[in-house]
Amino acid sequence: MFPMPAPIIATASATALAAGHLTGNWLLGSVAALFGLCMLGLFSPRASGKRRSKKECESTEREDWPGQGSDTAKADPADKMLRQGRAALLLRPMVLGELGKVAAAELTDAFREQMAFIHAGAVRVPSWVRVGEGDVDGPELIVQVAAFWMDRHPVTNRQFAQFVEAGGYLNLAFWREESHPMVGQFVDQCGNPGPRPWKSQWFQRDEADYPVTGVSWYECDAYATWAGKRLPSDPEWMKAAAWPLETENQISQWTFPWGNQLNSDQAQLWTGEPLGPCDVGERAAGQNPVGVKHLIGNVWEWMHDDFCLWDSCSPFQPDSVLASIRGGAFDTFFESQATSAFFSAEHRSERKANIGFRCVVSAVDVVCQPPALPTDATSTSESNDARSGGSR
Amino acid sequence: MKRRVIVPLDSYELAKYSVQVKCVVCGGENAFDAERCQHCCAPMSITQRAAEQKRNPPKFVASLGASGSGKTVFLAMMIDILSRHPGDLHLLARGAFSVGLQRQVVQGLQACCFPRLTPTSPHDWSWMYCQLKRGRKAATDMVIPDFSGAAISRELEQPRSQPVIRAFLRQCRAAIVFVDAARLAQGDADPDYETMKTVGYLSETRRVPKRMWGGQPVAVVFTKADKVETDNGPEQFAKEKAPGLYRHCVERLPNHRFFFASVAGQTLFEGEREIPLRVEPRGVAAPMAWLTERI
Repeated sequence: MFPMPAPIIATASATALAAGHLTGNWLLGSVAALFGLCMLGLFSPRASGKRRSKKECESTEREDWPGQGSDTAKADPADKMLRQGRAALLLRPMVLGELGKVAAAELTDAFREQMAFIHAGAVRVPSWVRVGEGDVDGPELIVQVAAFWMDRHPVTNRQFAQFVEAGGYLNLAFWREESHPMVGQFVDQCGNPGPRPWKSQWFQRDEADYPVTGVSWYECDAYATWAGKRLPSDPEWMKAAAWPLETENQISQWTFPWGNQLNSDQAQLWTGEPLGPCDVGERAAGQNPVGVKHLIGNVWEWMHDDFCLWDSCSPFQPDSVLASIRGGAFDTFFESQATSAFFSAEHRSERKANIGFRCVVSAVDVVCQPPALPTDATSTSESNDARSGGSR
Repeated sequence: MKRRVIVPLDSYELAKYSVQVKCVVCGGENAFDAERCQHCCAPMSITQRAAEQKRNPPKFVASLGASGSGKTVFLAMMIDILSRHPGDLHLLARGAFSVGLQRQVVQGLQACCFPRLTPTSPHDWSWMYCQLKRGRKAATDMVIPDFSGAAISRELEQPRSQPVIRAFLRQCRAAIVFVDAARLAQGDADPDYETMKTVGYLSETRRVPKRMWGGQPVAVVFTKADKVETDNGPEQFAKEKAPGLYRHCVERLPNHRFFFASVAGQTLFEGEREIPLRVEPRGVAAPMAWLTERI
C-alpha cells in the first residue's frame, strides 16, 4: 500500500468538508471528510506501529531469507518452525511422533547443524574473587553437569528477527511474569518492539550474522522459550568453554575453549581500535573441540543464573536482579577477563551493546542421537600434555 | 689499636650545594640532590628532565576533579592504552616514576580492584612525564600530576593552602576536568557545584588575569559514563544534568569540550568498597587526543 503522508490526508479531509459547506452538499462533504479521517487513522504512525517521522526509520532496508513472508504463511507449521530455527521444539518426544511432513532425519540434521552436543561430566566452577585474583588454589565447587546441546554460535540478528517477526514481543506467554510490566519498554531506536540498536524492527544492513546485542536478559529468555530452548547455567557454559578432563583425582580445565593460550585470530577482544562485534562466521580458529564458536570474545553472553549463585566464597549475595555474564566481549580490556573461568554480572533489564546470548537445550528434552566424541576431545595423552601446562 | 688513614677533603662536593636548582613547577630553589621541591613538593626529577629538554620544554596538563571522580583510574588507563595499545596517538613514559601509577592501577583493575583514594599529602602523589606523538607530527612532552581530590577541594576552599596545585595551575597549558556522571545522572547536583568551583578557580589562577583560560584547551570529562542512560552526546548531558557547569564553561572557557568516558563495565559495592566487575574502557583516549591537537 502506498504510504500517503498524514498531512496530505488531513488537508484533503478539511478541503472536502469546506467544499461540502460551500456547495451546500453537506452529506457529500461529511462522507469525504470521514473517509479522510479514517485514512489518517490508518496511516498514522501509531496505527502502523512505526514512527515514520524519522527519516532513518523509513529508510531501513530489509533482506529476505527462506521462511519469511507470505510463502511461510501457507507452509506447513512444522516446516515453518524448522525454517525459523525452532527445531528443538519439533524434536520433543511428544511432538516428533505427530510429525508427518517433515522427516525426522531432516530435523536432526538441521538441529545438529545449529547445536553441538556437550557430554555429561564434572566441572570446576571457581569463585568470583579467585578468578579476579588469578589464584588457583582453594575451595571451589565441583558441579556434575548433565548432557546438553549448545548453540554453535551466539544468536544472530537474523535469528532474532524471526522471533520479532513472529510477534514474540507481543505474546506474553514467552515472557516471565516479572518482566510483563517491562516488555513495552524493550523498544528499538524507532520505538518499536525489538533490540535497542535496531530501527523499525530491523538490524543494520550487513549485520545479519552479527550477534544480536542491546537485548535484556528477559528478551533473551523469551527468545529461548519461543525457540524451545533456554539460557545456559554457569556450570553448563563452563563445561563447554573450559572443556574439563576428569582424571583419577582431579579435573583439569582449559583457560580458553581451545587450550591455554590466546592468539589474536581466535577471539574478538580489545585491540586498541574502536571495534564492534564481528560476524559469527569469523574467528573460526577460536572454537571448542566440538565446534562451539565465539565463547570467548565478540559479545558477553547472558547466563540463566543469578550472579555468584555457584560461588561458595563470594563477597556478594546471589541477587535475582543481577544475572551472570560470561566470555568477554569485543571491548574487554584484559585477557584475564575473557577466559572460560571469568564471569561478570549485569542487571537483567540492561540492554548493552556488548551483551548477547546463546541457548542450550537439555539432551533429555530432545530426541536426537549425540554424535561420536571427536578424537581431539577425548582423554588422549596429547590433550593431557596440553592441559598440564596451564590448567586452572 | 689505632690506625691512621688519609681522608681526602672533597670540597668540590660541597660546591654543588652552593648552586640552587629552580623547581620547574613553582620556581622555588632547592639543593641539587633534593628528591622533591621543598616549597611545592613536586618531584625534582621533573625539573631534571625538563632541563634536558630546553628546546622543547614539557607542557603542563592539570587533572582536576572532586575526590572519587575517577581521575587516577582514568589517567592510568589512558597511559596504558596509549602506551601499550597505540593507535594514531602514541605515548612514551619518560622516567621510571611515570610507569609506577600505570602499573599499580592497571594491575589492580585486572584483579577487579579500584585503587584507594589518592592520599592528600603531596609527597605521595604520582606524577607522569610522558612524550606524546601523533602520526608524523613532532612529539610533545607533557607533565600530568595525579592530584588528590581532597587536596584540590581544600585548595578551592582555602586558596594557597596547597601551593603545589596553585603553582602548577599557573603554568598549565591545558586541563582535564573530571565530573562524576553517575552521580549527576542520579540527580545529585553536588558534582555540578564542585566542578563550577573548579572552573571558577581555574579561570582565576593565571598570572595575567585578562587572559584567563581563554586560549587554553579544557577537556571536561564525564566519568563513569557506563551508568548514564542517554543516546544524546556529552554536551547535551551537561546542559541537562550540570547546567551550572555548562554555563561556566561557555562563559569562561571558550576552548572547552565535553567528553564521556568510562573504564568499568559494571560495579558492585562490597560494604563501602566499590568493585569493578569487568574493565571495558570507553572514550578514554579521546580527551587526550583532542588536547594534544590544541596545546
